[in-house]
Amino acid sequence: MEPLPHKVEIRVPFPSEQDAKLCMQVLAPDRELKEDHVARTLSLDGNYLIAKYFCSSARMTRVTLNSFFENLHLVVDSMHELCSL
Amino acid sequence: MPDLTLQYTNELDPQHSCSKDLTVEEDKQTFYDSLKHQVRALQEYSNAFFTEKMKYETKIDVPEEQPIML
Repeated sequence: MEPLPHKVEIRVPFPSEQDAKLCMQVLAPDRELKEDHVARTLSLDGNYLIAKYFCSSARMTRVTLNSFFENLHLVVDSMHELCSL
Repeated sequence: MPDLTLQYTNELDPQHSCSKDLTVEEDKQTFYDSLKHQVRALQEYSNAFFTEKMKYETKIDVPEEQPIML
């Protein structure tokens, strides 16, 4: 296992605890492709989704976070569309 | 006002940590539009920040994408 010195915490607000929990449930099943270079935890703090990443390098951190933001944007966009129905 | 936040620390170089806060509109009608906009903004910030840090890194643990050979 590689050392993982690069630590990132992202806090994402939602209108309610239920919405935050729903987003976490959608994101949780997808595992990181390089689990020896990236570790991830997802948790809730009230109506906030907390994503913590531990990465082996700046390059790995950039790639990992870019993927996370893409997925997050997709989930948030979907939740927005469904809420408007 | 709710904030979308990113906090970064490097255990090997703690002096060069960073923190970014982006405010999301609280109004329920505009919340998700605002959140989507700020997610993209934070993604851009993150990509720029870590691309800069990569200049000082010799470790290559993400292979370059290879073309698909048919």
